[in-house]
Amino acid sequence: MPELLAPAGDFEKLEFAFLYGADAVYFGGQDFSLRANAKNFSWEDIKKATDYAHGLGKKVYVTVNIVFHDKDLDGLEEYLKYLDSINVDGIIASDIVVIKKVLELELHFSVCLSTQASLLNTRALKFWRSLGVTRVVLAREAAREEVKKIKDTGIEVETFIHGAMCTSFSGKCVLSNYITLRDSNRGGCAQICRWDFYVKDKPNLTIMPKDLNMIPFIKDEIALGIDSFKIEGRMRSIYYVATVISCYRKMIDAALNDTLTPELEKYYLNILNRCANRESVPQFYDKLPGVDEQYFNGRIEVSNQDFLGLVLEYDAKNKMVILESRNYFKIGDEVEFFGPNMETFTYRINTIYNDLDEEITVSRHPKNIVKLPVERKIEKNSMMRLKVFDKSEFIV
Amino acid sequence: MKKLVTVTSETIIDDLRNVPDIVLVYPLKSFCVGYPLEFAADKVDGLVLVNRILDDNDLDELDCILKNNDFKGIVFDDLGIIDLVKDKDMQKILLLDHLATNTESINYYLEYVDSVVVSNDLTKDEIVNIVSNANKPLVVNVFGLKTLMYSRRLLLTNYQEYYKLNKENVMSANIEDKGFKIVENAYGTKFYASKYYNALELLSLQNVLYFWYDPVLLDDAKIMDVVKYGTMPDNLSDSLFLHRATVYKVGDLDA
Repeated sequence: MPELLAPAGDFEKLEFAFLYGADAVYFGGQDFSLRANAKNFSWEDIKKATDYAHGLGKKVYVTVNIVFHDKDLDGLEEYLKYLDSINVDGIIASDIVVIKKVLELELHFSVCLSTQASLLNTRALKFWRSLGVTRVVLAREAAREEVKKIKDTGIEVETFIHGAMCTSFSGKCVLSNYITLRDSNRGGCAQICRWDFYVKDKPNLTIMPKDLNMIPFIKDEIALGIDSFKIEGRMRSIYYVATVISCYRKMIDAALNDTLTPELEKYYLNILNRCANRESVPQFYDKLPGVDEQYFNGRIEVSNQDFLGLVLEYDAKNKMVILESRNYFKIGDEVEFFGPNMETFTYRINTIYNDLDEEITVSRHPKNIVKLPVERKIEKNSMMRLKVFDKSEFIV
Repeated sequence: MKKLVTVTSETIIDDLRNVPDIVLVYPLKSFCVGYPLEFAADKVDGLVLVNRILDDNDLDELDCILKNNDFKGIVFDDLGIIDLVKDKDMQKILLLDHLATNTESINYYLEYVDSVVVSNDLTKDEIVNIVSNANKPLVVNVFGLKTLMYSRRLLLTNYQEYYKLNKENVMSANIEDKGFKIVENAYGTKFYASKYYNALELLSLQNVLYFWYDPVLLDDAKIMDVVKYGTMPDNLSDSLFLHRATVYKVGDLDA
C-alpha cells in the first residue's frame, strides 16, 4: 500500500495533514532547505514533529535539499547528527555532499534522492544507490516507461501526484537568480516561469505549466508498486492541505478497494482544481506535454474564498458547531462540512449566532467565532466550505 | 593554459584548430539541448558534449556510439554516463551546470571523473576557493552564453502553436532590461542570458584543466577575437554572478 506523503510548511499544517489522512509528511528545517520562505521548523520543532508523528505511527522526512555553496556547509554535519539523534525517518537531498556525509557519519535514517537530481535512468540510480540512497524521487519529467524501469530495480520510488510544476527540470533553473538575485537552488525561487516574457512584435511569451494531477493514473502507479505518493506545496494553507490530502486519501483507498470510478475521479478533480485556483493535468507520465498542459496569456487567477470556517468544537448538548470563520458567509448559503472521519455533507445556513449568542445574518470577518446549529456531531478541525459541486452530479 | 572551445559553427573549425592550446568540444547530435548546430559522431575529432538528461533508451544508444567511435573525451551532465564510460580510456568531464557549487561535492565527484565544470552561478571568490581546493584540475567557464534554464518542454513550439506563429527554434525575449536567448530542439528548450558571460579575468587561475569558451549564437569573427585575443565588446558581455552574489534567503537581500 503506497504511503501518502504530505507537505508541512509548519506544525499546524503537519497536524492537519495527518488528521486528514497522510501517512507521512516532509518539511524543512530553518536552514539547508528549499522553500526558504515557508515558516519551516526549528530544531525543537523537528523533534516535536517527529515525536508527534511517531506517536501516531506515522513518519517524517526532512528536506536537506539546497544546493550548497561552500559557506553554506557550516553546521551541516551537526545538523545531520541531530536529525539522527531524534530519529527522523529520513531526509530528502540532492547534493552529493549531504548524501556522502550521511554515509561517512554512519547515520541511521533513510536517504531519499530529491527530484532536484533529475533522475531518469537506472544507471544514474546505480550511482546514487552506491552512496546509500534507498529511495528516489524521479525527475517530474519521467514517463511511465522510466518510472517502471526504475521501480523494477527494487528501489523505493516516491512520485509527485499533485501540485505545482516547475517549467524546468528541477534544479536546472536559475531564472530567479538572474532576475532577482534570489537563488532558486537555495530556497529563494521567485517563480520567474510564471512571469510574462516580452517578445518584440509578437505576443508575450509565457512558459507556465498547469499543475500536476495524477488522478487518472493512481491505479496504474499502485500496480507499478510505487511506494510513496507525494503532494507538492509546503507554502500552501491548511485548507489546501486538508482538501488535497482528503481527496487523495479517499481516491487511493478506493483504488485499493477497486471502487475508484471515472465519475468519482472527476468529482475529486473538480474539488482539487477549485481549491488550487488552477487547472491540473497529468504532465509527462503519458506524453510530452504540449499546449494543453501550459497556460498562456489571458488566464485570470481569482482568489479562492471557498474556505468558510474551521470547526473548533461541537457543543453536543446544544447541537451547535462552534466555528472560527475564514471567509464571508450568510444566512441562506449552501455549504458543505468535510472532515477526517466523516462523509462530506451539505448544510444550508438558516441561523448564525455570534460569540455573544446573538443572532446575526452574516459572518463578515475572518477569525470571528460563530455558532451554527447542526444536528449531527462534527469533529474538531473539520472544515466548512462553500458548496460548489454536488457529488451526486458525478455519481450515477 | 588550455582552452576548451565548443564548436558552434562549421566554418570556424579550421581557424580554431590553428590556435595553440585549443581543444574542441562538439555538441553530439541528438544528445544536446541548446545548440543550434550539432555534430554526428563521425565528425567529432575532439571531445564530445552530451548535455541532455537521458533515459535508459538514450543511454543504450549513446553506449553504441561510444563503442563505435574513438572520442578523446566526453563532457556530460547525466550521472548515468559515469557507468558507461568508467572503463573507457577517454577524458571524463562532469558538467552539472548549477549543481557544482561547493568544493566538497566537487571533490566527491572527482572520485569518478577526471574533472568537473565549476558552476558559473558563483562569485569570483567562490570559484577561486573551489579551484584552489579541488583534488584535480577543474574546468572553468570563462566565456559564453550562460544557461539559465533547461526544460524538457517544447516551449517555443507550444507558444508558436498557440498563437499560430511561424516556427522558429531560436528566439529572443526579455523581462524589463534582462534579455534572454532561447533555443529549442526536439529534446527541450534552453534559456540563456542574452549577454555573453565574461569571466576572462579568471584566465590566470591555477589548477585548471581547461578554460571553457561556449560561444553559442556568436559569429565567427567575434569568436576568434575572444578566443585568440580575449576581446569582446562590453555591450555584448556581462560578468553576471561573478561580481553579483545571489542570496540564500530573501531576508538576506536586506542584509
